[in-house]
Amino acid sequence: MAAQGIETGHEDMVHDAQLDYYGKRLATASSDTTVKVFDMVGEAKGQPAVLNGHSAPVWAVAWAHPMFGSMLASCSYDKKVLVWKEETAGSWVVVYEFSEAAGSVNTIAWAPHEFGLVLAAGSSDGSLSIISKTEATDWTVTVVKDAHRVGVNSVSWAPALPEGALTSAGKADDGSAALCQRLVSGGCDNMVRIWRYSTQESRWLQDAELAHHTEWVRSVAWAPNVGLPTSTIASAGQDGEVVVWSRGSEPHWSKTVIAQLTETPWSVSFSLTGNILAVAGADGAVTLWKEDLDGEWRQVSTLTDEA
Amino acid sequence: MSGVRSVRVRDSVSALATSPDGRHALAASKTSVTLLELDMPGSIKTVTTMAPAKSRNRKKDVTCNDVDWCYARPEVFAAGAVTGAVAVLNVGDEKMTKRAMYTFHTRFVNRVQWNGELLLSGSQDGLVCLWDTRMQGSEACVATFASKTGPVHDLSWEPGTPGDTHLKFVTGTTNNVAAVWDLRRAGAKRPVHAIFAHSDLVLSVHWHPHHAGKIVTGGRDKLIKVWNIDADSKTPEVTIQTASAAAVVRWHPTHAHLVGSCSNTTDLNIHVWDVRSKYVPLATFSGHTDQLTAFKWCSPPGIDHPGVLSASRDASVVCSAYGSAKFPYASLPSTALAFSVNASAQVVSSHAYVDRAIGTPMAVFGPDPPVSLFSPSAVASSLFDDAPVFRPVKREVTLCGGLDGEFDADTFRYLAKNYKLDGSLSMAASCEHNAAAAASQGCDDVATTWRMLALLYGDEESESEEIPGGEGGESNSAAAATAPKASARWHPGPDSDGDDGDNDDYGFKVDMSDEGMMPGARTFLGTESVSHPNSRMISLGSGYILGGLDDEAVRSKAAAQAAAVAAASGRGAGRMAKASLTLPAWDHTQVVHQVLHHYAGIGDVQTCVAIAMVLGSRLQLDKELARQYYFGYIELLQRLKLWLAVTEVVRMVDDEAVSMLNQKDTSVKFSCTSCGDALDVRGWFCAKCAEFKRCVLCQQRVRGAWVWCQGCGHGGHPDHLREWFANSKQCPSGCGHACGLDTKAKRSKRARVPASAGRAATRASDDPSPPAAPLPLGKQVPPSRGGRPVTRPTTWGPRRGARAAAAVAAASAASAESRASSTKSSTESSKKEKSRSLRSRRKKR
Repeated sequence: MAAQGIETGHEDMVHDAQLDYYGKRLATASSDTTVKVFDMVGEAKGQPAVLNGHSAPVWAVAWAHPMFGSMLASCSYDKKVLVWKEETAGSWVVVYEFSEAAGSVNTIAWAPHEFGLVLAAGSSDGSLSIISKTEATDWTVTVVKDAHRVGVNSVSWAPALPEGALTSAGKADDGSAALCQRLVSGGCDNMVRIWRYSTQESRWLQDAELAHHTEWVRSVAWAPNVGLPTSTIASAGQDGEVVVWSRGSEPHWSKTVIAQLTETPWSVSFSLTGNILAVAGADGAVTLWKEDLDGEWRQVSTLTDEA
Repeated sequence: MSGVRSVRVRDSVSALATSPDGRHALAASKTSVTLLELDMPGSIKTVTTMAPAKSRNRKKDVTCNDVDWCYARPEVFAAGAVTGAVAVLNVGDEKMTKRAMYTFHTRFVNRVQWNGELLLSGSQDGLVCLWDTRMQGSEACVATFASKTGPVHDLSWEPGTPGDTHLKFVTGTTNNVAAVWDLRRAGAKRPVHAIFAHSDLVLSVHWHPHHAGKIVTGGRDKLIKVWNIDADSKTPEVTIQTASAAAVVRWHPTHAHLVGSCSNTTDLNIHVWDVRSKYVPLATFSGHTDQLTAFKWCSPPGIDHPGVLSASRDASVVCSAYGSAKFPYASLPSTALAFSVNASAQVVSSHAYVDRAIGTPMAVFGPDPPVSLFSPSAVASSLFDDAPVFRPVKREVTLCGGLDGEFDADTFRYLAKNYKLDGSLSMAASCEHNAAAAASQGCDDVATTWRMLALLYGDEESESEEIPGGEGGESNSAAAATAPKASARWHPGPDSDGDDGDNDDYGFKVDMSDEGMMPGARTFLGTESVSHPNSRMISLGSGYILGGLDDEAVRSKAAAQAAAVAAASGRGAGRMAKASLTLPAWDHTQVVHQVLHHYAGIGDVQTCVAIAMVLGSRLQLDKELARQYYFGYIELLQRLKLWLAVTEVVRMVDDEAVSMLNQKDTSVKFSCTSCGDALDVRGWFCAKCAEFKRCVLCQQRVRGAWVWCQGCGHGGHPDHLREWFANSKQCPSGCGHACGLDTKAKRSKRARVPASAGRAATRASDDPSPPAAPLPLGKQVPPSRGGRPVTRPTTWGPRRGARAAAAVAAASAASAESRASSTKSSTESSKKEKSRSLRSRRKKR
């Protein structure tokens, strides 16, 4: 598989790299406290825009849906989440700074755009913060304290599906069934937790607690879903195990350990249609897994870069 | 924890000193000084505790603030006392009989440092005194260095070459200054160099043991800075941010790039920094429960367990071996993944092949293969080795492409553009066309699916017929019973609401004559159609006619059966007549549902949606499920920026949630023709130009559409100008320009859109005319088509839609009357102007 290396020009470790919605731009987060935005196509290819705003290593970046404009969020060891917006081509300004966390913010994820401009951030102080902004109001924050005892390592949103689409065959005829906000988080207490926003109580409730890992859960990912009645979540732990949890119409989550890796898997990610699971290991090798017809997950291929 | 040895002393330790051979250490606390033996594996042993005898003369008390072991005479050490006295004592002397006592300072002594036989002491009173311990009494004070920089917190001698005396030292003082003094200029009022090191107190300084000129300073402003006074004493070489005040900073005795630091406040850890990687500490030692006061590197050669010696207010001295440290780089993510939508699904992963041992960008030393798996023992051995093995850190991001079997964006794009989903062809023809398209892309299984569907659903037409009364004119009359073409017309938009519950998803209506056909009769499509007035007929694409059957289920079975028969027997055979067939029951709808489920399962939502759209309500798909398919497909189309396909889907799908998408995202603005700024619709006033546009004919303010000649710039209300140019070619303003005679007007390639502003621009007009070829300009418009407003399908994405729609709206009539007026045969000139204004507006944008 052809691999193309991109020299980022960062002065220190690169912790995260994300492509935007259209796959045209790349944002990288590094220990040198900067975020760089590269154009993958076009004349400006190779000249990154450098975003300075953090004072400590930046752990992750996430692109928002383009319907909100060119927006990017970054989280860092300095306990801040910065939301950036590209005012003019190539120049980015901070439109919001969230600094209420008591520890390093390790992970951020934008919610599906149907919910509006909503961002989840997980921090080392164990709290999960949901930051949102609507047209009418300013930025508001809801905090779920003690989501995971020692720290939250990873969050991922569920695709926007109507309430009950997973659990019952009942249809909402008016077509405006309330979309249920759900997210999955993995933390340092070895647990994977699923949270659901309850509109009656106006707060986040824990929907399920999935226990399997024996060490810190490093990464979780919720698979995009098109028309299938199942929900699928993948989680990777420091113990080297990659587990796929799935739930059909019954409320119980069933798990499949798909891999036991020797290297710590740092991140898991589903493809756009939810078919292929990519697992990135500590030595830089990325393995791809696919579920075949009898429900077994097989390794499809490996991506390595030619050193 | 292995590798950590500790010992408790009497009370909180304020200073540490290590012996030249590294085997012993002194820990000074308020009431005593303890001699410790470090070389024992497993523990630190207290050898002696030295405590001064209680004396009434408080000046003789040696409550130590700092101790330093004399390397020249290892049996001697110096202690700086809280009273300001500096005492030279014997190691191991329990009674602490003083060999010498020097008093000069008026406030407590912060630091004492030996240099051979010379002793330097820095005190809170701002003085630094140099004592020669070979002398006695008051002659011992050889020099004093006083500057107005405030209390001296730390001292450090410049390392000299062996045999030479050290000549310089640096002090760190309260005034944020690190001052370098030279012994040869004793008595000078000002230091040789004064570095404005920090923005707060300089708590600690240390001269590099090997590199002359390099000094590290730690300040209360939580920064550690490395200076090179030979090069530039104004800016630090490296600045490291720490979590809290850097109270003690020390270079590593052998490794040139390592600095250890500890804090005297909240942070209870000792951090080891590599100055080349200044953001994350290399290693962190913990183990104390109260504030740290001192630490020392404890790794002389020959020691089994090199490590770090630290003392704290919790009255313990801890010696931590290197292996017991935490290495923050181990818990930092070094790879990330992102899937992309582009051709051949790229995966991005960021590598920092972290050299977990050091974690910094470094060149490769040595030929040995690198340590691939991070392990503390591997790190420990390589970390502090003399010949470390490093690995390059890659600060690269890798794009990998070409995932087989997954989403192929090129095929997706091709099929999105080339599928016929709108029902302009018959069902069978659509399926055949789509099959061909899929096959051309190599998707043979999809192609086969289409062909099967063509067979299964064949020429069944839509459920409901209704005789489109009066609307749309020609389509009604065209389908005469005898006319061979009973063509289906595409009726844009959900305008058939409320007519009949059983509409097709895309407003598919079949025109037919109303004679002889019974209500609910089904006509047929296809190449040949014959209508028999008394029976309901179904014909298959290949020319069969099957007797009409009422019951839909039976009909579908019949179709299936007929398909089987047709397949088996070939063309021309089996003309079955009338309703007396008994066919085996086979409800293939379920099978088709499973087909859709399969495609959704493998991620090919495009096929699902295409099938659903072509088959329409025949498919009886669960509404919720269908909606998910549609939304999923639209999302993928949007990712690839296939806006035309998006609107095609949105318009043809009979699902409110989906069709609402167009209405949500589109906005229309009016803009000024001169400057292009957004117009305030209420007043039709352009703030930038600060003017209204006045019609050249009626001299009234033009609200809404404004038409003008590109040549002379005069213009006005479209209706007035149209009337004028019906009669004259000259410009109405009298400028002499022949506005109407420009023969270079090109045909507008696009159809004119006289749609009203706002929402109507996105919704199809009610006229059931087909999307005709662009109106020819400059020629007589044929009366049957002339003037009828042609709907232009909105084929723009959300943003472009706004702009283009604005251009269109601004150029066209803004009210319904324009539509009426346009039914008159429009004049060429105004149309030319309109087209030119359209084009120029678009160019401007």
